[in-house]
Amino acid sequence: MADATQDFFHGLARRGHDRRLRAINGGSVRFDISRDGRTDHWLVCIEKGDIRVSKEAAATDGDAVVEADRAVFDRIASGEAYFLTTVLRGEAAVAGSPRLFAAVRKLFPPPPAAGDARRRGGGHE
Amino acid sequence: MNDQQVAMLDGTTFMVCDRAGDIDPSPDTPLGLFAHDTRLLSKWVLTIDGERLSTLAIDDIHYFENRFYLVPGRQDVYVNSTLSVRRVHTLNSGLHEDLSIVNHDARPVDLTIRVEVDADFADVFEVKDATARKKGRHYRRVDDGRLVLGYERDRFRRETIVAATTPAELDDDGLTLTVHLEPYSQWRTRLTAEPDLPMPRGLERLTIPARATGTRHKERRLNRWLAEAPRLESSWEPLRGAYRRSLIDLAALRFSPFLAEDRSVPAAGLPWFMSLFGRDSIFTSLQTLPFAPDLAATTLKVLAFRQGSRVDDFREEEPGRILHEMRYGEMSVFEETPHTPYFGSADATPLFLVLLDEYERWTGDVELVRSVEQEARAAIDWIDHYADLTGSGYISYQRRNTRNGLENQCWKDSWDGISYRDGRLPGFPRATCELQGYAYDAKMRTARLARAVWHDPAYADRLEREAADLKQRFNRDFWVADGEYMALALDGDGRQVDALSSNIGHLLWSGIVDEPKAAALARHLMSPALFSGWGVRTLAEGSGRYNPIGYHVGTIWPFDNSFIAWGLRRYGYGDEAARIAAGILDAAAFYDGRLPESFAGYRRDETKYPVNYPTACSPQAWSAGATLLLLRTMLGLNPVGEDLAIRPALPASLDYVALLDIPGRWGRVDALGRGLSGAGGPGHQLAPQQLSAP
Repeated sequence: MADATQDFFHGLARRGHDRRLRAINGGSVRFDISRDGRTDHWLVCIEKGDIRVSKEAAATDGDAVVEADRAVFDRIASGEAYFLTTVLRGEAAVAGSPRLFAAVRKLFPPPPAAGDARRRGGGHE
Repeated sequence: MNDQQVAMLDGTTFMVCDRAGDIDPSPDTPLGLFAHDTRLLSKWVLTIDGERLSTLAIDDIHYFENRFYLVPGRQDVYVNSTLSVRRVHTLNSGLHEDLSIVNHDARPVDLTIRVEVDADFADVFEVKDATARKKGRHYRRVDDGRLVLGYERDRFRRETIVAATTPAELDDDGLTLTVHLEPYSQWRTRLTAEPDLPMPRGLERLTIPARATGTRHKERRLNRWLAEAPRLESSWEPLRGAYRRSLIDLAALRFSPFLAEDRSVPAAGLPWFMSLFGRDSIFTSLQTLPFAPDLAATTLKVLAFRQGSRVDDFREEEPGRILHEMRYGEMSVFEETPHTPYFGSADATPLFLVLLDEYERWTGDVELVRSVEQEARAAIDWIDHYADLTGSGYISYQRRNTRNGLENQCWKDSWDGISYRDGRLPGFPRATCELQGYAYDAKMRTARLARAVWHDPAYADRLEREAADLKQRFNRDFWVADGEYMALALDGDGRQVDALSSNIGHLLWSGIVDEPKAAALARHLMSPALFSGWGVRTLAEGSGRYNPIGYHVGTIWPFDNSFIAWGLRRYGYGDEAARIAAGILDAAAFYDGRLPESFAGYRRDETKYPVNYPTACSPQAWSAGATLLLLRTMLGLNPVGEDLAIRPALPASLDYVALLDIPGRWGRVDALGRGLSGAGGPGHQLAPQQLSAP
């Protein structure tokens, strides 16, 4: 789990496009991830579903900002924690464009599947 | 809500107190000040010289303002007080109480006024289930002339701040004011209880909908809302009263959820459903389209934005699925309940598509239809894939969340809402009939939008083919031949769940019923087993589980009846639709025009008045909407191209109804209808006390 955060951003960069974000004409979200007094900045730019990720973000970049400790963000990035409730509990903070923030939550992975083998729905996609 | 309780509300903020204006603590009644699904005041008790007060009169000025006229002490036969007390409650972000006391005596008087205050910060679900199990820590402190009541669990914090505008002594349990009143003089103060919900920057709007503040601003907003709605003229006063009451209740229930900016959607109902519900907001938007189309536009945008995008068993989220319920209370935030948001509804997704098309037919707002094309297609995909649990081509449901998900994911969502005729409960997955009707209608309507707005005729052809195929199979598989009606559902093995229910009325509304079968359904709907004289029961008398005071197994729901009436008109049964409208509107008159969520299914000639369902919510958005939809069905309003078609079919005893300035793509038009007694009748007739005979 140690690299969940990094894996998440690298995965996003590789994905390159996400059709669920096509409604966002243009905007960027900066993630400030802190550990041991050090803060990593990741900038995710979205334009009509196209995603670009860079690690060289300035502290002024981004139309929306997500702040979290690395341990907390690792859990979000791996699908273990749900982004919205994490924020509502005060374990992570957001600022800036609510619309962008609400769109970005779709990027996080779903929780591990319960593996209900009997379930047909969604099995024939 | 019972008649010992007094409520005021404004969107998702509401307060329920007793007839003296007090909140007396109780773990399981919804007394208190609530916002964001949290009880912010669980005690608010006023005494004067140690005595509680007695109520002389209550004036509900506005939905957000109540006035209580009181005297000190418990009075019996004679009121013999030299003091009169007035409490004016108004809702803003919290509670404002303007307290004034008048001394009518020739001598001065010294009084000790005490307000006992507490806040348990219970989640509304804890109040509903009468289970307080707080895991965090309550705290209180007197701080800078204010009493701060707080609750904290890890980094989650909720506070209520209590203060007075005149000098007061504060302690941990409330505030004390010492008052000297000269002869014939008045004293006043303002007490406030304001929430302080520390939220992350940028997220404030998520949990704290921006509300218009100030009574005058709210009054202006209400007056604008009423002025924009069509004007109703009728010789029957109760109808005018119910119309006005419904418009005001819908105004009261409006709130601005996340991303709606300053536009509104309706909360579902007081006190348990003061939140965004997919199904309720869609049905209410459908009912109110001819009157306040903006509710539909905002509902569509908000639900589209929050559409499911992944598989999450706990929340029952699936790609393309439209949400069921959104909550912000502690239990939701700490994931003890799945409402952030919860997606356990099988009907909201097809109904979203039905509303999208109906909205465009009324308003011509193709821009909105264009902007949610992707979401609409995802909703179709959900119907075809995730909702088809058995591979039979029918929508069915079986909960993913086996801990606290809903077993029944249709509108009759109580545990026993779906049963066989003999009362047994079917296995899962369950494919209730109305879901198939909604899916059929959703595909037919989406096909129209695909052709007219998205310019994708191939997609439209595909949807129409699928809809036609669904209709054909449905009329074969759901038809209960020996009873001549549609089964309530198919069970997990594809067998008919053969109870006779009100759901067959929704099938008429959706248009999935083969024309030759419609007559039998109309006959059943008006039969003594289903029609009580007031309305159509949820479940037919004689069914195994029939109970006239069973939530979904015998009570009458005004919202249900309004869609049944619409369905009857769709198939040409105008007289039958008018009888239902007359029965429900007669019932509304007994509730001062405010139709409750549901009422009992007893025969009308047994009781002469509608019998209350004990815990019905009121006001309830889709019950207020029922009055509006019944007006639409009575007047036969239907958008046809750029015009509004008007084909009235009024109850026989209603001589005249006119709806003026109906908004839509045609601008504004008037609709007039005359009943039998108004059409060439012998001169002036007295308006009837009731529209239909008991």
